[in-house]
Amino acid sequence: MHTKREKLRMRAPIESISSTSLRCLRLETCVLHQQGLETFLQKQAKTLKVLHLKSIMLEAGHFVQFFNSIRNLLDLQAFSLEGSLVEVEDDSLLYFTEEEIDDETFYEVKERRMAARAAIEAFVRKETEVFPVELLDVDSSGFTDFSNSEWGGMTIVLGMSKLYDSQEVDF
Amino acid sequence: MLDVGILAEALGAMRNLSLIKLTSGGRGGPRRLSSRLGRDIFSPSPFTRTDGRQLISIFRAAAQASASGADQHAKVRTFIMDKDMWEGKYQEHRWLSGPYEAAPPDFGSLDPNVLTASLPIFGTVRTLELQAQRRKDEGLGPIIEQNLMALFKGMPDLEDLTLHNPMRLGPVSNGVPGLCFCLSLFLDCLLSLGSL
Repeated sequence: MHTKREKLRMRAPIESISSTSLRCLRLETCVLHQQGLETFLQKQAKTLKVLHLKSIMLEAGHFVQFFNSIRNLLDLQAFSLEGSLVEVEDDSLLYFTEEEIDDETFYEVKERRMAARAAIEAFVRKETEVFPVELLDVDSSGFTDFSNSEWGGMTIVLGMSKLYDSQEVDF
Repeated sequence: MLDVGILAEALGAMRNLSLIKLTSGGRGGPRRLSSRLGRDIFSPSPFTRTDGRQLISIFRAAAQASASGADQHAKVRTFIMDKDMWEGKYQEHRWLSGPYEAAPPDFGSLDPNVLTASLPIFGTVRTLELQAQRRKDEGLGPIIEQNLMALFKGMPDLEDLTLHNPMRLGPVSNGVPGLCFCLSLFLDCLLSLGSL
């Protein structure tokens, strides 16, 4: 079951950051627009050295290109990735409960997802040349029509880990 | 409800104030924070609870202080808003006493002019941390977005930015203890003023 909620678009606020000396950026459970983020990162490329992403929803883009852009634009001293990676279509966003994407019944799934995050971190830090497509839940790079995706309007590229669920803020 | 006038006086008087933290209630040993880091800090307290109204009060007081205090007011370097500082309706708080407005103001209803006027104090922020906001009211996304833009534009020295879960708009569950917050801005202001 999906619950549709109002979306707070972060593209304009992030692009409106006037500082050109941003050194550390942590984005958690945010909807990011690929092109908007690239524009922003270009502006901050000289100073931004620490980037933490957790449970990111990517609007109008694919994560393979997304992480390639981060890798190419930034020279990071530290990069970390947690939680899920979800691609969403442009004009509507369907939210989900954690249970719906927390399908890690089998230990191997959890292991693979943790390995995927670690491999993406290494890729962005330029420690490896190959993006770990084979470790993702879904290779979405060829997807063009989100409305036909299984979840309707979104593609879960990498699911959430229970390990990180337990660290979520207690509401 | 914080007295904006007294708070503005405090913001004007505490020239060395460097950190404001609006945070969740009853956790993390507020007194330890206060004693460890010194008196020029707004810190949480178990005696008062807060919601988005305190956030509005801070911005209003900062605007008032910067209008009246010239260069003699505080210049905040670190501003942290813990989760639910954005929330509007808190009538269900069993910890709170006294009458509550039907819809107390919060970041989603903050006058952008007030926010802009507060920038002499908040425009010096280098570390900004905005934690989860959750709105029960529909249609406030664009207002929050505009206010975020105003805030980010007005912080040219920003070096460290954390946005945690800034998108949980729409229906949420009620009555969870985690919805309760405390803040001793008022108390700490009075104590700080008294110690000046």
